[in-house]
Amino acid sequence: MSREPLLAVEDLRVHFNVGGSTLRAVDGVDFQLFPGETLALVGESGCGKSTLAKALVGLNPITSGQAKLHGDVITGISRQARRRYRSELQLIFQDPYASLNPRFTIAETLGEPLLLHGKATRQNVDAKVCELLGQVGLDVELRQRYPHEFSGGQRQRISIARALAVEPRLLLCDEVTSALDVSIQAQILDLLRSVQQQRGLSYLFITHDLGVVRYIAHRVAVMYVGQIVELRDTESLFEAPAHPYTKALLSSIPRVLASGEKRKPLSGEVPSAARPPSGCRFHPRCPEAFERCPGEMPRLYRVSNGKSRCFLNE
Amino acid sequence: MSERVTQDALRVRDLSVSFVTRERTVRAVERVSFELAPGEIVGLVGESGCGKSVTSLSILGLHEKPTGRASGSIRLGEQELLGLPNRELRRVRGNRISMIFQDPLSSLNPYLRVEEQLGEVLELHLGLKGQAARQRMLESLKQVGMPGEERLRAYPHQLSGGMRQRVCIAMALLCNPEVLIADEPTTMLDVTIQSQILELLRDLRRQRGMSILFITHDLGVVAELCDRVVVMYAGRIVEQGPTTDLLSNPLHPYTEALLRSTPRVEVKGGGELFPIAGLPPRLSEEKLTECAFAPRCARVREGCRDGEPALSTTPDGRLRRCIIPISEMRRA
Repeated sequence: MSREPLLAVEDLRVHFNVGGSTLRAVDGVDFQLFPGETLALVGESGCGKSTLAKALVGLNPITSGQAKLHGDVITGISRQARRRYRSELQLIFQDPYASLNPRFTIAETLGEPLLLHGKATRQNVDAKVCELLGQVGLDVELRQRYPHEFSGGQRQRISIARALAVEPRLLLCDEVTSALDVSIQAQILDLLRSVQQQRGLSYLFITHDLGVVRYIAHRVAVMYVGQIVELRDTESLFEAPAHPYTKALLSSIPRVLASGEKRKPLSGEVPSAARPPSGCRFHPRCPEAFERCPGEMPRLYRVSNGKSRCFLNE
Repeated sequence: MSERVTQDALRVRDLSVSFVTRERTVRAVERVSFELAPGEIVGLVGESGCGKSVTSLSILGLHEKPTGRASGSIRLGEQELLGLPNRELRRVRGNRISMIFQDPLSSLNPYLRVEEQLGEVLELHLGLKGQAARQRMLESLKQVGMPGEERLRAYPHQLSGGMRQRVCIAMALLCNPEVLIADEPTTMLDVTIQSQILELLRDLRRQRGMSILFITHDLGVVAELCDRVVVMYAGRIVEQGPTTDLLSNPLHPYTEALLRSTPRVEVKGGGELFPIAGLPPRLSEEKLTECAFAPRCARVREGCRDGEPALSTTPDGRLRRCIIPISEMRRA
C-alpha cells in the first residue's frame, strides 16, 4: 500500500503506577490505519485494547511514543491543541445509554455537536439533524424524544449519528455491538459498513467477538498483555493464523456448525500487565514454547500479509 | 406413545409467568413446557426479553414477587415446586437444584472468604461443620480446577472472573444437585476462559450425571454443549429439537433468522448477514391475534395473521410453532 496512512501509531506506551509497581497496559504498539479501512483490535480483557483507544483521544496519559493523524502528532498535546482534531476522530462506546445525556432530546443530542463544530447554524440545524437520522435509519419524527424511549439498537444508531455529526474521518468503535442482540447487531454492522462506503471513513474497531471481526474488518491486530502479537489481513489471519495465541483464540470460539476438529482449551489465564512474564509474554500458556521463549522477547517478524511476534515465524 | 422408562429430572408443564403492576400486565412467559432427562444438557435460547431468564428464575421461585405470578407445574423428580412455601423451597434450592449466574461477582458476598461462602451452604443443607465441611469444600474446589488450601482463604475480589465463576460452580455442586440451572454463565468471560468452563460443565455431567439447563443467546455455545435446544421468542417456545438437527436445519423462521444474523468466525468474510428487521413485540395482557414473529418474519404469508399457531410435533419428534410446510423450510 503506497497510500498515506490516516492514523499512524508509533511505539506507543501507556503505563500506570499502581501501588508501587508499573502496569504496562500498552507496551510498545505500532500500527497504521489507512483511509477507508477497518482495522480490528482484538484480545481478551486486560490486553490493553481499550486503554489504547482512550489514549488516542487523550483520555489516558501517554508514557512514550506517539500517534499521528495524517502527519500531525495528536498525542501529548494540550487540550487546546487537541480540540482541532476532535472533529476528525470520534468515539463510540459499548453502552449507548451511558453515553447519551438522558435529559437531552435526540434533536438536542445531535444539534449540540453540529453547532459547536460549526457544521450547522441555528437556522439549518433541524434540517441537518433530520439528515443524520435518515442516514442511520431512524424515523425523523422521533427526534423530540428522549434516550429512554428507544431500544438498545436505536440508541446505538443515535450514538453513531452523533459521532457522524462532526464529519469525522476516523471512528473508534469500542465494543459497539457487544451489548446488542445478534439480530440487532447485524443491523448495526450493516449500517457501519454502508456509512463507511458513503463517507470513506476509517474504523478502529475494538471487539472481543471474532465473528464480528471477520465480517467487518480489512485487517486485524491481535493484542496480548499490552503488545500486538499478530497484525494480518483478515482472511490470512482466519485461514492461517501465524501466532500460537491467535491459533488458540480462534480454536476456543464455539462454532455453530461443528468442525469435527478436537478443541484444546488454553490452560491458565491472561497474566497481569503489572507482572508480565519474561521473554515472550505468551510463553507460560503456549503449547509451542521452547527454550528460547522465556529468555528473549521476540520482535514482530514478517509473515504473509502481515507480522507475527513469534520465534517460529523468524 | 409408550411410557418413558426413566423419570425426568425436571419437568416443566404449561408454565406461565405474568407481572401485574398498576399500569399494565406483562405476560412474560406463556405456557412453556419442556423436560430435562437425567444427565441431559438442554439449551434455552433467545434474545433479550424473550422470557428465558424469567423461566429459569421461576423454576426456583426466584422471580419477582408479588408482582410476578407463576402458574402451571414444575416437577423436580417427584416433587412439585410451584406453590411450595418459601421455607420448603429453601430446602430444595442450592441442594437438589442449584443455579449459577452471568456475573459471578454479584452472586458472591464481597465480605466473605471463599470458605465462609461455601461453608454456609454445607451447614445449612447438610449440617456439616469443621473438618468434614473443609474436606468437602476442598474436594469441590478441586473438581472445578482450583486445588489448594489458599483458595479457601481468598476474598472474591482477589480472584479473576474465571476463578469467581469456578467458585460459584463449586458452591452450586456442594450438595450434589440433580439439576443445575446456568443462566449465561460464560457471557462475561473471555473466550479462552469460556472454553475452560464449558469443558468443566461437560466433565461434571459425565461424572455425576447431572442435568443442566443452560440459558444463553450464543448459538455457538449451544452447538458445543447442548444435547437439545429450546428456542423462545416473545415468551413462547417457538422451536425445540436435538441440537445438530435444529442448528443445521431450523424449522422455525425465527431460529433460521437468528442463525442468519450471527457472524460466523468459520466462514470467509464472516458469512453473509441478514439482520432481522424491527423489534420483538411488547408483551401485554391481550392474547395474540397472530403469530408473535409474523411482523419480523421473512417468510410471512396469509395464514400467519389469522391467530397464533399451535406448537406442533413433526414426524421426527421435533416441536415447532409455525404454519409454513416443513418441506419449504428444508429447501432453504
